Amino acid sequence: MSLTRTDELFLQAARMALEKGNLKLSLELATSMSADPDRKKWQEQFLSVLANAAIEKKAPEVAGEAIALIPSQSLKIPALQKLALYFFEAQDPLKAKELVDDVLKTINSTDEKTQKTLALLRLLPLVAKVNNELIPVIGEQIVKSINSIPSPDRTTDKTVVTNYVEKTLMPVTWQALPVFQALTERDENLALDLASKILVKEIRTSALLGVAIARLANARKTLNEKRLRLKSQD
Amino acid sequence: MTLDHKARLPILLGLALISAVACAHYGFAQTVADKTDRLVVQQPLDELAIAFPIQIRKIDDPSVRIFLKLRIATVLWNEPHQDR
Repeated sequence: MSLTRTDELFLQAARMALEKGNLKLSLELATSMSADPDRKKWQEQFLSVLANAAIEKKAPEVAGEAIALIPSQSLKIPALQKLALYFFEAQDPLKAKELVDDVLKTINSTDEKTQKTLALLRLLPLVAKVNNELIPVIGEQIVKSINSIPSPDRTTDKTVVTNYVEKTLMPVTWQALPVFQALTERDENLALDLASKILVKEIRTSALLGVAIARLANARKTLNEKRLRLKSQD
Repeated sequence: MTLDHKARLPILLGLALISAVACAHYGFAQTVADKTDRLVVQQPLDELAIAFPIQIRKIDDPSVRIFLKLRIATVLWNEPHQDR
């Protein structure tokens, strides 16, 4: 039997084991595939699905084993974040903090600036839950990472500019707004300070807009609380 | 001791005047409080409705401009009518 056929059968068996809820067997079968680079892609995709399923089925040890075997950072980071959240919700803050540190290490090993920035932005809400003290540090890292993204000169080739807008500018602008909004709800001064340090005009405006939206929400909340207090006094 | 009608009238008028002044003060205080309350919300609202669109106009990329404008529109759309 050819190697490809054997790998296909291993993957199929791993899928069936996962469907039956036998997570350990599924992991064992998935890791039995050959080291061929093409098959490695299938394997890591499957390991990421398996890790998520294991977290949902409350089997963090299987999830941890599966995540450790994922080489791709883009698949490993969200799975690690999900596992950290699982431990936080399972009242194990130490393990959750440990995993957040692992996520941070993985993100920092990423060379691609846009992916690194997006990963840091996505990490901030988890950090706010698990390890509040890290927020200013991650915030500074986000600003540094945004400012290090190279932007093309507007006079250069149109396709390069379009590519930059589609793959970098829009995703980061999109992601920055809710993150800065949430950050303002916790610490307005920090959010404002960080947002004003962003050098890219578009991303800075988006971050500042997040701050302004949160300010309005905070003002409305204060007003509603006051009205309720006055009503209860009457 | 009873007061005749002529003596009662200025007393009643005085009492009416005192209550009118007190009510006006109470009403004035409430209006001032309402205005202050509205200002608390009005300031961030103005920032969103007036200051940000000016900033957004300076952005070169149309997709980013549209995204930010839509985000502002969504927030303003969800605002209660009386504070607009």
